Amino acid sequence: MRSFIVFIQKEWMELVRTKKFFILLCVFALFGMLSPVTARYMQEIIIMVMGDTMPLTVAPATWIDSWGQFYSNLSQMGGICLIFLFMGCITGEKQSGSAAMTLTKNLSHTNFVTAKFATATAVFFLSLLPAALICFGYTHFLFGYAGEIINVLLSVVAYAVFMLTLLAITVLTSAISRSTTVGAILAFCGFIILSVSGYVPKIGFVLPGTLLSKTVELSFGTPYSGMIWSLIISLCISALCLYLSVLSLKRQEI
Amino acid sequence: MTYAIETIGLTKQFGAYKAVNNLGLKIPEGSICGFLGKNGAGKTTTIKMLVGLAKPTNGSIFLMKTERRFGHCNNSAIGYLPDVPNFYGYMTATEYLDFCGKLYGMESKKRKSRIDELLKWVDLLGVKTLISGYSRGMKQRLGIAQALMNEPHVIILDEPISALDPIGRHEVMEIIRSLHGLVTVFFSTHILSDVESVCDYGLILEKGKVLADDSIENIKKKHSSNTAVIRLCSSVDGSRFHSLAKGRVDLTIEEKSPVEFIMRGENMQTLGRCVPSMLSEAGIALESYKAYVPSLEDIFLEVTANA
Repeated sequence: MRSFIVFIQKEWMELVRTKKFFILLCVFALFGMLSPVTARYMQEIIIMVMGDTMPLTVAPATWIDSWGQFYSNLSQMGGICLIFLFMGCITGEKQSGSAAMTLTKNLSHTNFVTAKFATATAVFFLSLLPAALICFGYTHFLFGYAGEIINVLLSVVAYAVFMLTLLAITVLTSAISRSTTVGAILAFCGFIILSVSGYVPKIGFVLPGTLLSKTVELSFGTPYSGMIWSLIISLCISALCLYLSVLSLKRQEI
Repeated sequence: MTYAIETIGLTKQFGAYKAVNNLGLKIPEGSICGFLGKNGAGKTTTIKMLVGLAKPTNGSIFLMKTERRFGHCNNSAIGYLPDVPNFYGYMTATEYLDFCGKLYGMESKKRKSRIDELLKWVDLLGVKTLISGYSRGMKQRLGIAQALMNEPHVIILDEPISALDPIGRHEVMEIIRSLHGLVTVFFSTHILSDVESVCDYGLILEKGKVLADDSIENIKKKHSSNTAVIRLCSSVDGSRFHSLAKGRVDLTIEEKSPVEFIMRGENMQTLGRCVPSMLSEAGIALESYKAYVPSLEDIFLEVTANA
């Protein structure tokens, strides 16, 4: 446990000093700010671009569009950012040789992997929560209403669990790969599979992909059947990925 | 004698290729051992197996009488410096050593005093820049400091001087020399003169096999036991002696200069009998006769050529 905490402190220092944390924080905050504004002024933007001679049948934007925009942006850019920031979390240390020095100092492979995942998770949450608050605030300011807090929280949880699964997959691909590029390609494949998993016939509604596609419905209070199962299955996939990462790293000669 | 490092039948095979072949090491506690070998001789593979980063195909490893297993993370008794040490460049030397000390579970007060002591030792005390801005020599010195952080019984250094300029090499060798008697140092290198000046124990590895394994003194004795250097009074005597010795089957002669020759026989007794009687029969005056002590480089070239 001691070495786990020490390694978390080191990971935290790395994420702060290499500016990775601030990059993620800024990207998420930017989307939290821009999404309500884009939703609110979309009609005006279209008129400005296309001219007012075109007949427009765009319905007036509501607070729901604001959350729709937020999750639409974050489901793509959020995932891409996470992969880019953490794709080398283990391969980088293996390639540079710093893992060899650290793993010969009473730090177990389990603590090495789980501390990396825990810190990445913390950084992700610390970026997501302010972004969601900013989006909530701006939506409320622009539309007069931003939804029930509990529903908004539920949608944030659904999105966060999906991204945690993606983070665990990124850690796994980084652990099993010899190069960062291979790890990144595998992580992107995992991202695509996770995203489309919700469309698998019959079982799709309990797979992680549904968590992402139902975030907007959740924000206005429409939980879908199978949500609990998709949360459980996503967490199980994350745990399995971490277990496989440790197993793979233990068998590797560094 | 107690051994800090002991291996029994240590073997590492990559497909059909045996990188390390049935290696039996016995490194005495407290010694400074130079691990010599050409590139590709199996030095780094052996070291990686010793520290638990590579899995032996066969054999056992004992460090301070405790058996080591692949992937085992309890390394309290050893310190390790890889051939290309890579630190977290965003830390300072103090922060990195503090991180190492915390991993070893050292208490805050002890950690701080140990860090100051080590940084002073490796001449990095007061250096506030991030490690990313360090020169190779500074990184290597910090590498030795981190290997010593937990006050280990054994430190294993993989080519700590190979990438350094003469000044950096000298600094690192002085640090290694200063460790004599404090810890067992096991370091690989192919710079033979450094081993000769610092080590009291030597190991020569070639194609995964040990060719020499003893104290430096004994290795030299072993390889000088059939060789003598004679010096004659004149070059005329020299040419006469050379032609006489060339005709003998029990001796070999190598000319160092017109008056100086390296003689090899079956052993020192044979040489001691044959050479004076030859000189006496031919009426040649001898200026000096001494047993030849080869340099480690001579021995290295000899044993690796015969391997």
